[in-house]
Amino acid sequence: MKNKDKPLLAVTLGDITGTGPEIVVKVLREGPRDDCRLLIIGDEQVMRSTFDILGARFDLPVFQSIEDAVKSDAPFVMLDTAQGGRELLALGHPHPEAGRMAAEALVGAAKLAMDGRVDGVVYAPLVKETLYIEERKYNDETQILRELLRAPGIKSVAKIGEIFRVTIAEHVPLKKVPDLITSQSVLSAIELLQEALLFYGLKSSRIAVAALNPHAGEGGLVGREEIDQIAPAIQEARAKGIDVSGPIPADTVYVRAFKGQFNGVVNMYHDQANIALKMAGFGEIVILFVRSPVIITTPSHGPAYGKAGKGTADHNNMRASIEVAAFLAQRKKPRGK
Amino acid sequence: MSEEYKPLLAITMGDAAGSGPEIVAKTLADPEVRAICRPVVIGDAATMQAALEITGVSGEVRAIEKLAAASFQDGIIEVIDLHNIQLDRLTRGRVDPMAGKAAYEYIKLATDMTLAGECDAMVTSAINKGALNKAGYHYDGHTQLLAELCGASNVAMMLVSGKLRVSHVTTHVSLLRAIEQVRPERILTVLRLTDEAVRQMGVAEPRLAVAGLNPHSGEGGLFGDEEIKYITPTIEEVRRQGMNVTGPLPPDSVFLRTYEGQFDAAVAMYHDQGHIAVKMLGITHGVNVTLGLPIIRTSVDHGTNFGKAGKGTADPTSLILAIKLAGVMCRHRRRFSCPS
Repeated sequence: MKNKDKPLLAVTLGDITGTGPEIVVKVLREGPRDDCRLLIIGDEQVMRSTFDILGARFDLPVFQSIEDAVKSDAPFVMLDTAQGGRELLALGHPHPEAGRMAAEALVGAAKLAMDGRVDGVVYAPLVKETLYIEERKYNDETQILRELLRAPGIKSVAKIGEIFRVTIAEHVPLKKVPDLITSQSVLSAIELLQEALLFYGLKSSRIAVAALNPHAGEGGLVGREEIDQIAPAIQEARAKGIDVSGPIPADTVYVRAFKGQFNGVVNMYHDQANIALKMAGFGEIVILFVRSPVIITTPSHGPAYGKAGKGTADHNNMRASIEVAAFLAQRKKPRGK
Repeated sequence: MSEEYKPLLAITMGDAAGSGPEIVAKTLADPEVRAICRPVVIGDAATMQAALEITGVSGEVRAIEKLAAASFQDGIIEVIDLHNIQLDRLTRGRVDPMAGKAAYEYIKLATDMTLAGECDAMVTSAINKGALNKAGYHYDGHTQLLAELCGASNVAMMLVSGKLRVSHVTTHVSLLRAIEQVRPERILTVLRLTDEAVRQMGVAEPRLAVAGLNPHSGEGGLFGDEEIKYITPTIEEVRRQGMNVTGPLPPDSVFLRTYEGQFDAAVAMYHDQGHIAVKMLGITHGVNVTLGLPIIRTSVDHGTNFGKAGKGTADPTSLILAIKLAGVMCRHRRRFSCPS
């Protein structure tokens, strides 16, 4: 693919007190990409210092205006936001100013995508606790994007290798989980997953719904949520033509998914998914947004403050996020058009 | 050094309609099994004879009435014959109340013999809960049945898979009930049982890890407070008593860290927490150990595998591992209780 035909993705540095800038530079250092060109959005001084930390040397044209930046057909270019913040680089813990910069870069990148100047956005890890835009504190990135993109239905879905995952009750106390498992919440999760699979261009979806209770409740002996909530939702989804199985005991659902039996998994709670993935040694998990007017992805991990400034952070997840965004952008806008 | 003590193990035949008898036949032909223990099968001699023929294992089935008659010779499968399967009425691969009743009787006798000290430990083959229920025995599985037969009120399930040992604070209850049962007294019991079992498995100074209940171990109370209210105080208490216990650790990393060797065992709060970790290892064969009984009991970690019954293709690895682990525990207990 000619450089000019490749989709252009805006990439932010995330929380600069963490490892965001490092993992971005590590991906760039691997050389020009076949699947996309990258427009880095961030402060030039922060970027230069990151090059120093990593001992990186490669050509990165820097522009002060977006008009000039998009004229270039270099594989990577940078738009200097001149936000400053070099003193915060690799600080190793959250800082409100860095959070503000990360949020502003995300907003800037998303606006470029809305205006059609870039084909998608990949943002490096940031933290919820310092997510400010001006004086307003946001709960998470989804809240920012929902308002900015006027996308009330926007939702994130995780992509783990070839498997897509939606978790119904993620960051809540475990004892609150059973109340959140309703036929409605399960059906919504199945439909979201189905949409994500189609959005990604998969022609056939094979969705598995994990059970809440051990042995999937064993016919009501050890819990009734499977009978009262999960199974009816599965029936309803099937009636809508979705290929969905379950409820499947949580201790075998990923064993079966990794064997290729499913390409989508609905999880009831956080650790159902995360224990399985950690044990399987699964590193690369990409978060992608669906029901969004623009393509947005991000690595599933946080800013890894403990590794900031050491050059040791793993950038596989960041690279995978770029690959997913590039794939989606190519699907949306076939090459040469 | 003199030859290691070979413990006498009561091995139940399991559900006759499943692949248990065939697995027992293959297992007792294994030279390593013969080298470490004196096995006796608690089962039905005619069914074992048929299993020998199905599997093509060479050897001889010998029905005995009493343990004293056992010779423990290689090539001979000695069966305390309960004579409770009518082979011409048995349909392999299906739930059969006759096989369920028989399976119960093997467990009952093996438990009595082990409790009486005639055997050093019992190792159990797979049973079918449906068959057991149809025969009128209403238990949720081996563990509950054994606890009742032994009169033990505080038992716990441990899974051993490769280098990973995981015991469970709660098992066969709904998730909501499990959360309600995560309380100091029960956590304390399971920690003590785990420490004791790991010692019996040959670890002199066990390092135990405890999983949190909530995501990220509650993240300081943000995602649940059971860690703060129940788990952490219990860990502090057992530490004061000298146990080496770390936690509560985030559930999504504690099992991997244990598997990688940072701890000798992990304590899971609920069934799926521990079982997801064990099953994702991709190790096909594990052992299930019941902690808290007055006897040593290990078991296969698989079901009756009706699909393979009668075909001679069932894999005996889990039973072989269960026997080896029972052997280790018996020898350790013997060394520990009679230092000669």
